[in-house]
Order: sequence, then structure tokens, then C-alpha cells
Amino acid sequence: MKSPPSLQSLKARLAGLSRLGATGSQDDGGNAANGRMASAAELRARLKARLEQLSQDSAGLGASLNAKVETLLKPRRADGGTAIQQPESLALDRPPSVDADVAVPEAVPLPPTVATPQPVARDNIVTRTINRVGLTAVHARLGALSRVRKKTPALLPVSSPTSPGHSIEPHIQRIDSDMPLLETAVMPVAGGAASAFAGALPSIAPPIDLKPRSVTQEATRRRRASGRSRMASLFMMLLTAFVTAALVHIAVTLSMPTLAGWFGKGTAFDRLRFKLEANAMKPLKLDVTGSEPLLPFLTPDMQYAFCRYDLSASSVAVTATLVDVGWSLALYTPQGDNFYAAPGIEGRATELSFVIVPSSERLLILPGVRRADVDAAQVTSPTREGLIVVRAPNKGRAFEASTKAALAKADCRPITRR
Amino acid sequence: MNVLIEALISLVSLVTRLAMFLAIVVLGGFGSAWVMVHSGSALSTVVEGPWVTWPQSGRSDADPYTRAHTASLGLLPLNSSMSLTYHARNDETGARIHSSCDYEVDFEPIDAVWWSLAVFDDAGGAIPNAAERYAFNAATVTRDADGGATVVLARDARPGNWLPTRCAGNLTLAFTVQDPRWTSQSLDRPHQAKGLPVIRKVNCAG
Repeated sequence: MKSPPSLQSLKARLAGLSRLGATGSQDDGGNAANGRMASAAELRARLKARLEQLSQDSAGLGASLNAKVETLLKPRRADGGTAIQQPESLALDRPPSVDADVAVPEAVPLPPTVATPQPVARDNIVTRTINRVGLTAVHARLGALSRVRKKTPALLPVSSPTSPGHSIEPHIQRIDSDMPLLETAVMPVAGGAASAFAGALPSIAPPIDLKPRSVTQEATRRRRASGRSRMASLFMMLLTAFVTAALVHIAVTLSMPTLAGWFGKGTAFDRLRFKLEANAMKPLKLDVTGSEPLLPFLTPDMQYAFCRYDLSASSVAVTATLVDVGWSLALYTPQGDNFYAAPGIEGRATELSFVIVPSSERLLILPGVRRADVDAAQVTSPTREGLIVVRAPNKGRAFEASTKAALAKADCRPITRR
Repeated sequence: MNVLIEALISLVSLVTRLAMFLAIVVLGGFGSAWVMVHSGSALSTVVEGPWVTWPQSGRSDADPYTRAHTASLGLLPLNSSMSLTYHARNDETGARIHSSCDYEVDFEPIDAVWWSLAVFDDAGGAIPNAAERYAFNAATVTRDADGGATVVLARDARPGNWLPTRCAGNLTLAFTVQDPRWTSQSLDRPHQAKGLPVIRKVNCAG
């Protein structure tokens, strides 16, 4: 198939013909006027025929361009509608045969698809638009607009949130981005130029109403924004909950020694506080018959002597004898921290005698007294109150009485100041 | 009508989120603290077979979980540099120790100057019995020829080192070693403590 000549080549051929006519009229002699007139008439006839041929060729060019556009866009129409996207090659490219700088003669008819009876103003608009952006680009844009408008309700369920893959938004954005181009081409013509332009091309681009598309786009945007907002809110709630849980975990763990009574039956000090006088040693026998143990997991094969010391009025002097291995003397804070312990030594008794002083009122080291002696005789208590526990293991029934007697020698009493 | 439905949906959503928030805070905050304080975790306990110990118990510089454990249970542990106490709630197979079953607790010769094995009920109290037997220690246990010993936990009387369990239900064994050298070795190599007893189930009633 022979391709139709381009407008540029046609123009060049017209210019050649004009030059040929002009040259002939100058070269002829004055006596051959009739012959020259005949030659001029013949040239005019030839020129007229050429012009008609040019008009037909131009029409053929428009038809072929239309056919080419339709051919290129057919696969897009045939697909499922999921890829209704303007071919990039047709987006803004101008065909090499149509140059914006070359003025298209007004006598050249528009392609058949746009060749409808039109007023002059519309012809001017179309011509200027074609001159400005190129015929192929205009066809492609208007064809895309038409197809998107036609296919949108069936192929792009924009109101359904379950079809996110069939979004119309890219096409709408593309069309929106193209609108300034068309408007730029049309706007120089005053007085309803846009509507006139749209009316001039009824078979290509039906009138475009942007309102439904804007409402749909806004609804989609709002729906997506609402979903994102809900997810963000849920995420923030979960984050806050976990942070709060971590803070609660830390607070509960750290406060449990102090607030043990709130979380359970209290510390050992709390449980023994009202069974013991302050600053007095008292042997306590484990009552295994009761429903409540004296203290949980207190080794039952031992005898115990307890003293609840209180340093608020005075320091407390402690004396005890650790008869054998297994014996021990230990000092506890109300929270159960064992800040001092002395074990018995195998094979010999250990005499203990010291003073418990509060940490803020350590006794002064007097002149002439060795520091080691003072330190050995003083035990600093981190708290004002606490417990002294002397443990004596049971070595059998035969040793029970002697163990009890040795345990009874343990003593704690306040130091009286004169 | 639509306004009412939307308000109802918003209220249900708010209540659901509030319930979710409180569940996470209570279970994640109080629950995790309770479990880590009472049952312990790898952060604060050392586990060897069925035996669990709190290696920092009794110390003033103990970790917060150990201090909370000691305080909330009302314990008076000796400083762990001087004495270590292991507790076992399960036998060597992992089954809960229960008074309906008989158990044998086998000791190897222990290189410690003082140790004690006691049996408690689920609340940590001694189990009352006519024989007034609540524990055996290094001085009262009857040893085997090789220096080891076997203690039997059973409802009814058994020959040898018998600890009555009666109908106490779930039981807890406490193994206490008071020997600075032994405890320091155990703390230096926390998972290689030597001489921990083996708890074997013999049979179960009915």
C-alpha cells in the first residue's frame, strides 16, 4: 500500500509548480503572446488539477491518520479494561508529516471522522488546535477521553472498594493533566470556545462532565483516608496499651517489696510484726497444726528465735552464741533483704555481740579506740526497723533440749543512754 | 435512624477498644509481673532439672524480681553467698509432685557442711503428721554405705528416711545447702550444681 504524501512534500511540489509557471511567463517572447496565454491557461489548469489532487491527498492523509490511530487503539479496546492507558507514543508526539509551523490550508478537509458541517469559527478552532498540538495528538487525546468516559461505568467500579486494582484515578489524573493542553489550544478563541470545540467533534469526544468523576474520586479518597485513619488509630491504641502494660509491669515489680501487703499477705516482717515485741528476742515454735504457716517455706527442722528491732529510740545490742554448724544469725530489712549474716562454725561455738545502729547515726570513733574494733562491734542497719533471726538446726530428739537452751541465750535489747 | 445506628456502632467500637486496652494492660502488665515474680524467669532464676533457685535471694543488691519474690511470698532467705535453697514442684519426668503418689529422693554424697530436705504443702506449710517428721538434714538422715541417702515421700509409713505426705495434695520439696564454698561453686557454675537430689516417682494410689 502506497503511503499518502505528506503535507510538506505537497507544499514543496506546489511551490515548484508556481516557480515553473512564473519562469514560463518570463521566458516566452513578446510575439508568442497567444501561445504564452495558452501555456498559462494550460498551466493554470494543471495547477488547478494539482490543487484538487492535493486536496484529495490531504483528505487521504487524514483518513490514514485516523485509521492508524484506530489501529493502535484497538488492542486497548479489546482488553479487559484494566489497562486503559494512553499509549506514550501517541501522547504528545506529532507525526513527522504534520508540523505546527506549516499552516494547513483551510481548503483541506478534515478527516472523515471530524468532517461534519461546521461553522467557520469551529473550523478555525479545530485548525488552530491541530496546528498547535498536532492532529495525531488531538485524535489520540480525544479518543482516550471518549473511551474512558464510555468504559468507566462498566469496567471501573470506582464505587466498589473491593476492586482496588481497577482504579480510574490514574486515567482521571492523566485526563486532568491533559486538559490544560486542550484548553490552551482552544482558549484563544473567545466566546464559548471550549463548548464549540467539543461540539465540533461529536463523534470523537462527547461532552465531558467532570462532576461525577470528581464526586467518585472524592468518595474514594475519603474512604481510603477513613480506612487509613482507623488503622492508625488502632495502631496507636495498641502501642499505647503495650507501653502502659510495660510501665505497669515495672511499677508493680518495683513496688512489690514495699506494697507486698496489697499484692498478698505481706512480707515476713508484716506477718511477724504483731507477734513480736520491739527489741526483744523471742523463740517461736513452728505451728504445723494451724492452717496458716508462721512463714512459708520456713525450714521445719530448725528452731527459731526472732527479734523485731526498732532503732527509732536507740540502738540495739545483740548477743548470741552459734553453737555448731548449721546455726546462723541474720538481720533483715522489712522488705526481706538479708544485710548481715553470721554462720556457725563446725566444731566450736561462736560468740556474737554487736550493736545495730541506724545508718544516719553511726557511733563516733573515740580517741584511743581502734577503728576495726568499732566496725566489728557495729552493724549499720539501712532501715529503722527490721528482724533478727537466729536459726538452730534440730539434730535429733536427743539434742532438742540443749539446742533450745542455747537458743534461749540469744538476746537483743535497746542501749540505754545515761 | 442512621444516626442512632452510627452512634451505636461508635459506642461498640469504643467499648471494644477499651476492653482490648484494659486486657493488654492487665494481662501484659500485672500478669507478666505476677508470673515473673512468682514463677521466675531466666532473668532471675536458675533451673536444674526440677530444681529452681533464685541465686540472688536475700541480697540487698538483688534484682527487682528476686526482691519482689522474697517480699511478696514473705520469705526470709539467708544471703545466697552463704546458703542456697532449691525448690522442686515436679519430679524428674516433669509431673507435678502430689501426695497421692510415692516418691524416692536419691542423694549422692554432698560435699557440704549442712543441708536439709523438707516437704511442704502447696501453701508452703509443713505437713502435720503424728511422727512429727517434716524434714531430714545432714545430721538426721540415715545414709547409705556409699555416703548417699534416699528419702521416701509417701502417705503411709516406710522404712528408712520416710517423710509423711498424708493428703496434702500438691507438694513442694525444698533443698537447702548452707555452705559458703558449695554455694559459691554453684553460683560460679549455676547449671552444674553437684549433688542435687533426683526425684523419682515410685507409684501412685488408685
